Amino acid sequence: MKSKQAAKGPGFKKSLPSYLGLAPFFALFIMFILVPMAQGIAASFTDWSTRSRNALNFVGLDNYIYLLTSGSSSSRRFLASLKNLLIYVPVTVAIGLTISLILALVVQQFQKRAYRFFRGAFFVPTVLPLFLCTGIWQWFMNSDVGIIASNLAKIGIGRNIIWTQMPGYAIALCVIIDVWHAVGFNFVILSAGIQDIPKDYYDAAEIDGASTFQQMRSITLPLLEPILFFVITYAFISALQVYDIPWILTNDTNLNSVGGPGQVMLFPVMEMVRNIYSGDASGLGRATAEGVMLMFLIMIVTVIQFRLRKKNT
Amino acid sequence: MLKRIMSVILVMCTAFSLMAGCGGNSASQTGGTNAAETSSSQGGSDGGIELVFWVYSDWTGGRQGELFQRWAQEYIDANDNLGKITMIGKNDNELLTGLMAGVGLPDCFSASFRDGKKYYQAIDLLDLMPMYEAAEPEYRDGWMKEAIEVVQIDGGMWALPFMSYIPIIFRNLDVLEAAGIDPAEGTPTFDVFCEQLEKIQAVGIDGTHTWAGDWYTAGAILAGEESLTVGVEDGKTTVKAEQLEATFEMLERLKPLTNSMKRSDEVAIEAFKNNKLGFIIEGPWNIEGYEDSGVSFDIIPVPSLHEGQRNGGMRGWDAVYGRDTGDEERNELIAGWLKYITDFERQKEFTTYVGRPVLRDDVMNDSAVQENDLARISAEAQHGGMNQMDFFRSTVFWPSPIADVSMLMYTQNLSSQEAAETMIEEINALYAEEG
Repeated sequence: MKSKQAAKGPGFKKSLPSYLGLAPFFALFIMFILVPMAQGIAASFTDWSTRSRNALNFVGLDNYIYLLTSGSSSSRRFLASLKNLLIYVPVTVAIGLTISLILALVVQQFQKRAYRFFRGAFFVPTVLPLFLCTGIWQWFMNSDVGIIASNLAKIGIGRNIIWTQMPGYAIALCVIIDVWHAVGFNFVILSAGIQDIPKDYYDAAEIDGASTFQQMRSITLPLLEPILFFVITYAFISALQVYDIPWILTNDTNLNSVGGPGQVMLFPVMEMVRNIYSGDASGLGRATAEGVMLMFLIMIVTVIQFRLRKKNT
Repeated sequence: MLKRIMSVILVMCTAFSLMAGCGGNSASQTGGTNAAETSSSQGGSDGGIELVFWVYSDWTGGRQGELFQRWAQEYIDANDNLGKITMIGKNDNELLTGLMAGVGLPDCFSASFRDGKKYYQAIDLLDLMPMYEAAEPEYRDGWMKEAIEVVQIDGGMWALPFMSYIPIIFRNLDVLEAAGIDPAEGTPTFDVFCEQLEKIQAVGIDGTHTWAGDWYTAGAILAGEESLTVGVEDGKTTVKAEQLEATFEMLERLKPLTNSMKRSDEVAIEAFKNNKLGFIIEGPWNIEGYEDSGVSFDIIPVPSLHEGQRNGGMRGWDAVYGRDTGDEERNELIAGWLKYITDFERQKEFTTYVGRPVLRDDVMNDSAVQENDLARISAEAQHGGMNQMDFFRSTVFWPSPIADVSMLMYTQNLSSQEAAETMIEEINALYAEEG
């Protein structure tokens, strides 16, 4: 009898304070996440626009079909934004995390003072406002006078081009700025994870004659896996929602100009914003449809990551 | 027990804070100010009505800020039931996005004619026709006819024209001197412009920034094409591809004569100020910055594409709009305020002191106004060029594809004919989306 009771768990009365403690979170979650999400999904099946006010008509999958297959201006822009995203996300995640991991592994070897100095130095770009980071790199990457772009031009990279207007270069610039801004954040998390690995393993490996590289490969990386998984997942989700950097680089009084000429750095979130304020028929309906598709893309990527992790462990 | 009490208190605090953040009616909601906005207020709030006026950022500071603050105080003094006018500065995109969001709207706002139709459809604009019809004949008759007609739709008047702008070219006089160019020669056509750029390049200085990839610059060239048959028929543009070819040919000719800076980049502005750039195309709102920097410069209209024809530059118009708040007393104050700042005296003061042209013929023809260089040259430039789009009748900014197509021409080596045909397709695609 007693073990049955124990198996059931604590009674409702006993758990009540815990439920009450969680209630604010759930209230906020429902009010600001679930309800707007449901409204957005519902709106994606309507012809909602800024001119429709409260008169919405159900149009089924029209918005989705229009965006994916119609060949219209919005469709071409949205598909271009998806293509840019498919290039940008793996590149920025791979480069960003590789640099963060290498820095964390290298700085780990330093003495405490040097470690603390580099930890602070690498974190500085992360605390800078993104508009400031973008502004700094706009100066660096001007091919005439920018210190980095002009030196790259000397070795034949990006000679006489405007980085924000050329295909390939525009995404590269976004990657550079994003990696520079985010590497400190990932570095700090990975460093903290490395610090948590018990020293005994390294001592034992040293006794067995393992080199530093062998220790990193056989001890550090496997034991860092949970932290790495979190950092990779977060990096993917963040990269899939890229908006600030390319918006600042290509912002203009004319909304059709966002993303740069030829949509060289147009991404889905920017295209959603353009549709919201375009004033076109079904503009808001299409914007929400784009949002729903992006949401499913993020969910699919995250599920794949969890499945792969489960498979490997 | 303590845990339960704490839990209950936490839940109540959260619920209370959520409810406190919601609610209120639209009449009492006023635009907030965030860290990126500037604001100024006139008047106290001793029980009188408070008006919130969203304006362009440069209307809250400098010469324009001075004028608006004084006008606001004068208007408050003349109206016992008005307590305060708060002006909140926003940039173009903030105005558009804030107004289209539809919540926390101001009582009145300034905004481009370009988005006029969007605002007309999305917001309950205040019909200013009753005020206009009751106004004195001098007020009604002084307007530029085209501008005052554009804001009238379906028997109502939904905005009042305030000011106009057209791109102008700033010439660095020190760079011109170094290149042996006499400023008095002028730059009447783009052919002459190209010749002057070659001379500047020959002395090792960059002539100008890039003109492709930007509707403002490439569109400025396009606006000088007099043969353009702008309009819409059966949902397609009436502009012909052959009418666009000269523009793309000029962009191709300019390519080797420009550097890799964009006109709006800080780096281009600094290069001009430091005598490292000969010509920069700008809006009239930038003139104060250049004057303050000490650079030696003058201004000219955008050259003509063809000799003897109109100058380039797309004309933009700005208006002031009121919102129908549903409160008659408040609406009257809004209409009165908008009339006050658009009458002859205020508009003349604006043009002579700030140098920006306005859309009242009686002001622009005034001899005192003609003495201001910026106003005179802007007015001269206004005679040429073309309107950016069909204001208040369409949401389609039809010249905008020139930004994409001009870059495509460079990257994919399109001929001017191919570029022109591509642009026609892009324009038609925009009209198809308008719905």
